[in-house]
Amino acid sequence: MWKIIYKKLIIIGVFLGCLFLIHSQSNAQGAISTKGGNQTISITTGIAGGQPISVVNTATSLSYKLNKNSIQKITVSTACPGQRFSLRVLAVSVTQGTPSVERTLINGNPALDFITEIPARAGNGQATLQYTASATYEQGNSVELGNDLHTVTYTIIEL
Amino acid sequence: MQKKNKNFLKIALPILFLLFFPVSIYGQVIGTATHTITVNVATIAVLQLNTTALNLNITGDNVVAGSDLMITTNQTTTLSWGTNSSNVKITVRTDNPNPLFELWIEASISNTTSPTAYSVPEVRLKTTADNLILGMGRSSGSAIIKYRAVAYASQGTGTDSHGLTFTITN
Repeated sequence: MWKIIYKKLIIIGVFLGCLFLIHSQSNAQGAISTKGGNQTISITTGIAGGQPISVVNTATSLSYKLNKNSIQKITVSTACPGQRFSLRVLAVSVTQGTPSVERTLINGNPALDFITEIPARAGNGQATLQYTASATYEQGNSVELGNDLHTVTYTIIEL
Repeated sequence: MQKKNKNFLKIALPILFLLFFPVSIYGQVIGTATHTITVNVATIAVLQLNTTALNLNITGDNVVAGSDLMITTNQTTTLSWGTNSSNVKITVRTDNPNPLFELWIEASISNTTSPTAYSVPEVRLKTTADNLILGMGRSSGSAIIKYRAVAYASQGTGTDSHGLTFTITN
């Protein structure tokens, strides 16, 4: 008798889990997206006795749709095997939520809070992504060492 | 029968717990977006001098009577560099093929991020490039440039004009 009840409980549990996953996936579609495409940031000049001059790129943005009943946040992380140079990102002109301080993107590091305290049922939000690439003379150049290719991931999380 | 049920319970409850625990504690991921950002760093090699022109005047002051040799020096020029290439050096040359008097040059490195940079001994300027600083690697730094002009009393008077070219090169 008990065995049958527990078996049914497991079946129900698995069923609910599947429903949850399907629901998550359907919510994920269109919930967050980047605009502006992939970007290349080139550092081409430097200061004698100083360091190469950093380059800022604001050609991409982040759009997010928030119809949840609870507070949400967006995190950022990067995958860049063999990273040599520095890349930072800052959310500017944020329409929903609170932007975090500028984040340094380092290969393999855990995801960092990027936009927090996004109100429940905030509707559509948008933020300009301000990337800053920098390098030191000691870090070398792409001709000798190759480019850094970052796959930057933004994740929206319901708290 | 009851023992089997207890064993079954031991398996079933952890599964249900694992299924829902992460969502309740860490929050629910409801979407991700990715794009790629490529960082490209060009080959950079920059040099800068803090002076554009200077004069070395040999006046004969302080010359010892009976001596033919007269010398004056100048150390007011600073040369700064920055390079992200692994194998470069700084050279110097003059555009004056037939100077009346001798002009010598030597760099004294005052600061650098390179642990291996060094300056070569004093060289007399000529129209072919001579090494000035070697072993720089990928670094930045600066050096005091010491000029030494040499004339002999027997050479008489005159003026030499030099256009100097400093080059950062492989």
